Amino acid sequence: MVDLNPAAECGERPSSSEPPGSAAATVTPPTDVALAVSDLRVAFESPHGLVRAVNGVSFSIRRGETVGILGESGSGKSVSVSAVMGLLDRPPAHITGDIRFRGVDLLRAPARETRRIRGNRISMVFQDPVTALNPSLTVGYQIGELFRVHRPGTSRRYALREAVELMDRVGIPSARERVHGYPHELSGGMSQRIMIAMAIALKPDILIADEPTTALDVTVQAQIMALLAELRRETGMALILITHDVGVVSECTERVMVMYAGRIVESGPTGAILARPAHPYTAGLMSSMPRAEMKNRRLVVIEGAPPVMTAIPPGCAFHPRCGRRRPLCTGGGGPGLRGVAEERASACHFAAEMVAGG
Amino acid sequence: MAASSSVSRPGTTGEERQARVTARDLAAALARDWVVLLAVVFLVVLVAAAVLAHLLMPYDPLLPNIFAGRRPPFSETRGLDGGVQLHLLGTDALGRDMLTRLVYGARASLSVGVVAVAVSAVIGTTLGLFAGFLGGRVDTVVMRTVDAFQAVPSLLVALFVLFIIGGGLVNMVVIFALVRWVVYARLARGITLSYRESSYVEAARSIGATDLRIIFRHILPNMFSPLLVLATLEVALLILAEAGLSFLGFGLKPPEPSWGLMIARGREYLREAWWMITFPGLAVFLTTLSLNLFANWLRTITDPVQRWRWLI
Amino acid sequence: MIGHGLGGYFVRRLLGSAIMLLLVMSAVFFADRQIGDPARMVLGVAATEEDVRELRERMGLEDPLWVQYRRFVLGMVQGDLGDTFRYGISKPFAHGGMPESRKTLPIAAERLPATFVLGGVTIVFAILVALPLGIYAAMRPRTAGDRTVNVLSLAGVSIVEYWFALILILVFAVQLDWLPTSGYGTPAHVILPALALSLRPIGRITQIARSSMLDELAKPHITAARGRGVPITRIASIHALKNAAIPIVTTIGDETVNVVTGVIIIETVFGWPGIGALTVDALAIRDVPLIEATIFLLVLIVLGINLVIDLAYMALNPRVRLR
Repeated sequence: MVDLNPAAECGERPSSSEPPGSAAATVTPPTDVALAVSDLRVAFESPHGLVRAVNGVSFSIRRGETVGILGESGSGKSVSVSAVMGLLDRPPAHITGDIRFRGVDLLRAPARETRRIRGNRISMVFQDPVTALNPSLTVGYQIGELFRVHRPGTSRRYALREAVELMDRVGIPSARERVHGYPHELSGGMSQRIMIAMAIALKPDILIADEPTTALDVTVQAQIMALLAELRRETGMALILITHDVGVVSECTERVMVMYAGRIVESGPTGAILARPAHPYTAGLMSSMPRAEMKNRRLVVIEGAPPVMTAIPPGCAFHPRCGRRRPLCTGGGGPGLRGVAEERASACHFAAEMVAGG
Repeated sequence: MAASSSVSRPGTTGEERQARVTARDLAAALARDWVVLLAVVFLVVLVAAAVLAHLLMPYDPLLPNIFAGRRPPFSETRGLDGGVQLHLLGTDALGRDMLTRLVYGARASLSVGVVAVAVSAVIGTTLGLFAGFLGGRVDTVVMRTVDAFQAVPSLLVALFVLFIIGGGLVNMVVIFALVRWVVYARLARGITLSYRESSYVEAARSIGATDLRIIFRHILPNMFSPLLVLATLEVALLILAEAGLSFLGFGLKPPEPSWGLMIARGREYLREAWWMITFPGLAVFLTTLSLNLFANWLRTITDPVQRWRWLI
Repeated sequence: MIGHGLGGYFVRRLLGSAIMLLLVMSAVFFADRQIGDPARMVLGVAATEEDVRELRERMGLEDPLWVQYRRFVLGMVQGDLGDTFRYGISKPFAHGGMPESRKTLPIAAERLPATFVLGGVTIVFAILVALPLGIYAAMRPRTAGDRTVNVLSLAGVSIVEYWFALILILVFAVQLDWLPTSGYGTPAHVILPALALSLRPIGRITQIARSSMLDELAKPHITAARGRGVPITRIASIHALKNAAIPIVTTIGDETVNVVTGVIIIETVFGWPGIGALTVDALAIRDVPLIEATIFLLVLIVLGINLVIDLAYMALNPRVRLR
């Protein structure tokens, strides 16, 4: 078991003991599934053709679990959750597949119905809190608005009182005064706390955090991660953590899905995957992370750049950058996501070899 | 096996493609937007007609024919030379062919607009560039002057100055250039300021580029499309201003075939001869509308943020 | 709460406007001296040299230029811009006697209410039409509705106002006889001139409302608000509009200024007894003191509008307000 990035404080390490089940990533135990995504595909119109951002992603989120989605920028992780949140304009986005939350078809249900779920049952924290807050509305207004929007009939005063309480809860000092302030008076970390306050305001079933610390100072990052973990424990909500940081995944998640070129290339329990990755891309991501015990070793970078999404390579999309590349990898539709071990799946021809230590 | 560097990277050239918009992309986008396409065609035809008016128009724009006054569109009259004349848009009070006068009027309106815009754009851009680039006292003086000019409506200034110095084509061009240079100065200064501190101007400076070279090679090219948009809008504005001032009697003088004067004359026959006022007004309207449509399209298509949406 | 800084800003801004007014009026003063002898213009070519000299004396034209200028500047402070010997003089000058005279500023100021009514109705009407149109278009970018609004608003900006006014008269007054062609007094009289004047502001405000709303709606905080399930109508009317308000208010100010110049022609066309029509009359009879009075008031109005817009801008921007 590697211990990556000890700086991240996510509280106690979540247990990685999972209920046994099928090895496929698409497994959906019927009772405790909160969100089920199957064969999600998102493409955007562009002057140079369709940008295929997400290419057949399936996963499900169980109640209360913490799942990481790991990948470089452009891998489709943010687009996937934006599709879940209904944040993509159609057109230019073309979305197919199926997204179900408690039986509601989020892609096809009327806007009125999905709107009641967003911010209420599923909420999201964005990468850059400074731009995600409206500069000309007070902080209190923006938090309180959630109650007024999702609980019709809520009075202004009640909403404001709730806002103060939430700000207290996410650790904002002198919340009573700051509730009347504007976002530009807050630091980046404080702004992210406000975003988190809004995200947990209505006690959602699922909270999606899209690179919640990337735009923040290093010193603040750990505090925000700790806050998220603490709130998750208290409320029992599921947490989807989107990140490019293997350390964050290792510290804070029970399960992880690794995305590359709009596909999930590997998924499974975090501990198991980080101990023995079953996809060369995961291995590459891990070896490009600085670690304490390899002080004297050089960091390894993954050669090349992620593909431009208008021209995804045939075969395995990762093959141009892959050290294990064989002729088999460069043609055809590429390897699908297949089970490699208990609860684990990988989209590499050599997954079994890798897990076995080859 | 080495993850070699010779591995081809599919698609990476696509990023370069993304950054450049070719003339063909623009033409394709234009072909899809039929309203703007129509506007461009109209402008091309108008300019061609104005330039070639003396070749295209069979009748004299100034010569009166009192026996043929105020004939409605599509009427035929006997010309002074005895031949039959067809007046597609009718005749004015003095029996002159409306269509002929409209085409000659385009000459007056377009030349006032285009020449005044050219002069004011050159003056304003130069001043704005140097104000932004040099900063300090030059900047203060130029921008104070700009503020002062912008505090008073230019149409009011133009009206008063034309009252003092008298109307006519040359005076109009001079006064328009004098009141409108400020808009270019403001734009040029703003763009210069945003590029002056940019990293690539810093880079150019660090390899020893001279100030003039930086201005002409690095800053000016970035100004081209916003300036073109602004200039197009200004031509439209000045055509309207010319029409207004001529209507009040402070612009072009009769018998010059100007659109504004034709509307002013048509006003006297509002009840009897609707075509005398309708067509010159429509001519101004269609011209300025086409210019505005084109400028608007140009702005969206050259805006890097919005461009991709419109190139789809 | 108006802070100390805002008060100081206001005083500085007021001072700047006063200097601007002085500059403009000085230019007008010296330019006006270039167009010939005002006394001769009043008395006509047939008048004797002595009569002209006597009138010049009364008009103060025999004093050195700097004395005249000082009197002019002091007059502005006291609200006295001299006398007219031509405009609205009931007893025309008879040979052998001197013409009567009237103060110019009261003549011009009398015309202001009519202009304010016309300008006010125009701008309010324009805002009521343009804002919903612009917001509607911004919420449906690139749809047929958006393109229609776009072309219509450009059409509004492209039209010759007085030509449109004349076409309105031709249709609604001459052909249909629904509305009066000209005059002042009843609400019916204001409809056609206000309609003619409002096209340009409608077009410009629609354009700005659309583009600034589009810019705003593309911002991350709007996406975040959508992610919180805030209804789209609320996002548009509160979240986006509040930020888009600054360019929109600036444009409303610019267009109010444009209306002030627009009334010069439109009042003439409709015989509307406002300051615009008076300006044209004064220019037509080359009545120098009256010209100076009308320009003084027009520039004063424009500077006042600019001041109000600046203050509105300060009030709208929390970052400026709280500093």
